[in-house]
Amino acid sequence: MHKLLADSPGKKMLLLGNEAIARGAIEAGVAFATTYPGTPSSEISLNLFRVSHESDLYFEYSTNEKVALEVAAAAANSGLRTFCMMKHVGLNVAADPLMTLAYVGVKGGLVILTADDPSMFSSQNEQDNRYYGKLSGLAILEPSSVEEARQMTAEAFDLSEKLGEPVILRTTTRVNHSSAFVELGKITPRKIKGDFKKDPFNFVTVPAVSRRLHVRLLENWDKAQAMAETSTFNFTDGNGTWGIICNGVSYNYVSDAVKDLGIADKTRILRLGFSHPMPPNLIKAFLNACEKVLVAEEGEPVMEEAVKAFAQEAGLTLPIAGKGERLFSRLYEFDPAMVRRVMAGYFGVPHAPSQPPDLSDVPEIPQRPPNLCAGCSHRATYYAVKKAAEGRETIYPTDIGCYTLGFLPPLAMGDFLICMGSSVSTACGFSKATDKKVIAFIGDSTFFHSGLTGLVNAVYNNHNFTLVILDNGTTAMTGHQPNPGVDMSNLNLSGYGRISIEAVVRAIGVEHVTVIKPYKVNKSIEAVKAALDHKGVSVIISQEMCTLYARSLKKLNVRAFTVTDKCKNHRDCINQIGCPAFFLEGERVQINPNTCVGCAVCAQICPENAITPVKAKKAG
Amino acid sequence: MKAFSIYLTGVGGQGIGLISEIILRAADHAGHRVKSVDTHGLAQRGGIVVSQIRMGDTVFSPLIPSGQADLVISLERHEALRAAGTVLKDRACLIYYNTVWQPLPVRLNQAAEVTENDIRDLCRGRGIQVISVFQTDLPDIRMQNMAVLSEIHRHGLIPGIDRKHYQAAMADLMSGAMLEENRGLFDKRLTT
Repeated sequence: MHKLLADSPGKKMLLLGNEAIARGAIEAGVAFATTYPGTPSSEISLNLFRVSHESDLYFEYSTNEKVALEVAAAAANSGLRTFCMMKHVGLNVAADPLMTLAYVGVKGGLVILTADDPSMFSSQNEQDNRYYGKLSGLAILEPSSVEEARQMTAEAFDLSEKLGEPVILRTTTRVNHSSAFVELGKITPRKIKGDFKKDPFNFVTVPAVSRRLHVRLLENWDKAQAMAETSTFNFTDGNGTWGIICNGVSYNYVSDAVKDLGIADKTRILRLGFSHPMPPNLIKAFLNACEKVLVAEEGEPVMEEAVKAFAQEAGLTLPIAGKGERLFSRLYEFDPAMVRRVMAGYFGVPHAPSQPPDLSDVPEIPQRPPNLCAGCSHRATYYAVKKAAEGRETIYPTDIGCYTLGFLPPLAMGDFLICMGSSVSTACGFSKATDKKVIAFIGDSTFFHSGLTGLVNAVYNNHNFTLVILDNGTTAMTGHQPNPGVDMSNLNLSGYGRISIEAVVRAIGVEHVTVIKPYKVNKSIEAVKAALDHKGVSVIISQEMCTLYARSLKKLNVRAFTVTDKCKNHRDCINQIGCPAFFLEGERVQINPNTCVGCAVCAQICPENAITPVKAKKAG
Repeated sequence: MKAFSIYLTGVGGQGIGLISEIILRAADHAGHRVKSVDTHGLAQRGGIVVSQIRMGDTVFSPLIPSGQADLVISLERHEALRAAGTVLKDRACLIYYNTVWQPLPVRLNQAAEVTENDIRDLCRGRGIQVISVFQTDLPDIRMQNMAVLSEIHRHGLIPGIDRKHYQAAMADLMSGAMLEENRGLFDKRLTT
């Protein structure tokens, strides 16, 4: 049995933040779950996917976040408790349904999880999705710890049903990816079959209906604000007059700092876990009890601006500081030592921060950016395209996935990226706006997510570029989730459709479509050359299973290669493809037999044919 | 107990997650309050992987304030130096497995590989205890983390965790031949 299905209230279990969130949803009796995977949220859905194989929970990997939220909106309006998960930028994709679903509301509890990523550990921006609460008028809950993530997720469903509105559960990476021992709660039985009652004058958002629904949304907003005033997720620690207002992980840093600085008798902490709508009376009463206040929040000054406005309403003139005063930065995640230093400075507490060590004598440590794995098929594809495009002036729009890493040297294949699916549509723009050869890269999952519409646009508007679809048979970067092109029998799952990328591309009307096997280097280069010569939209589909995924499915037949003494040390292999299985021993290139998977790409590149398979040991 | 902060580092694929979870569970078996935070996602593709563990009765944040780790555990030499230089307290301890996963600039011959002397020099100046671990006859490189764990216990680097707690934690996470091999290695190093 999946550990998150354990019906043992009171038991303590070591859980990742994302597992605790999944558990919270299970305890609330979630019946329906949809997602598009994205770090730092992915482990929530991965666990619910597995749970769905052992229970009557309905779970789906939807094509993208907009689809996920619309599927969820229907389930919730059929009375089911529904959970929709995504990373922060995913909510941009789902923003269209979000804004109007707030007007329509829900019948069964709908919790929308957005996992923000301050410092951008795995993201293209660090937008603060608390603004979506303001924008949509929906309530936001924000946990500070793994334990609270479980409890808050479970209660978010109740809150959603009380308000008749979706509730946004907003986390940050450090909550999603922390682990702690969590006390389990009781599992509420799930109701798996819903019913939809026709009520078009409340569900069909034509202007006349929406004008009324907007009034109701604002009434619900008032209701939510009243609930925030008394929510147990909004609490104070301490009775002093130095006020600190915080949320999420900043509460942990503030609490540790109060202890480290020995100022617990002087401070009063207001932790806002039900952070939108902000509770005005609670905050005004807090301000009244303080002589000065510091607002400690990662990201944008969302709470700070509201608190300053409340102070003005209440005629309070005490100092309130945070980002407006540049005490805290709007950039990146907080470091606990930085929070402590700012608190000490603001409240005038003597504090001798530890000096950063003197590193002047230490040699510079080479950077270690992430890179494509040993034997990754994307490396082979990039090499083939680079060779095929030699002599042409190129622009390489790229997209979001492991393959984005191809923009790093020595491959350096990637010139422009803004969001999921942007490779295809920006290729349309670059090919019209410039005379350069435009070659765009997109992965299989990203193609289904939001590349399709761009390709339709390209054919319709008769653009001129080559799109390379890197089909590695899985959604690799976020942890090998399936997508509409995946053979689900690999996962021993039946009852799924499977969409052929090639058939879709041809059906859209792309005239030049070629499928390549990227480990066949010369054939691939020739196929790409032909595609580049085609005037109009051409598509290369490069098919080879992700090596990590193949290994996990026991489909990887490893036969390591080695550098023989025929090597003349010109280093084409290491300098052109930079596979991590290579290392330098003195001046010589060697291949690490523990990491080489035997893709043989380097062996085909070596002009001396000096790279050969490691000879199998003779039996006996 | 008093707060104790452990910073684990290495290269994606080296098994940081496993050794981190063993320590986390061992601390719990020993009755300590403990929490951790890890790197997931993009960085796991050959980048630096970090896990931070904090033990203590009144610790809120799993994130270690910069420069305040009591112990750095690295499974790789470059990352040992990087972490010792940035997160470790003066007079604290660094234990690392003495293997090298060359970063790209080293493979491209654009930067020099970090040496054992580089690490010794840095640590000597700051009074940091250095323990370098290496085992020539390791049956599988994926067991380097277990060799390090065994040395952590042998030198008593984490207060309040005993052999039985480490063993119980291993049994929580592994079974069958994998458990036998890993526990065998852990025990063997303690008796030689």
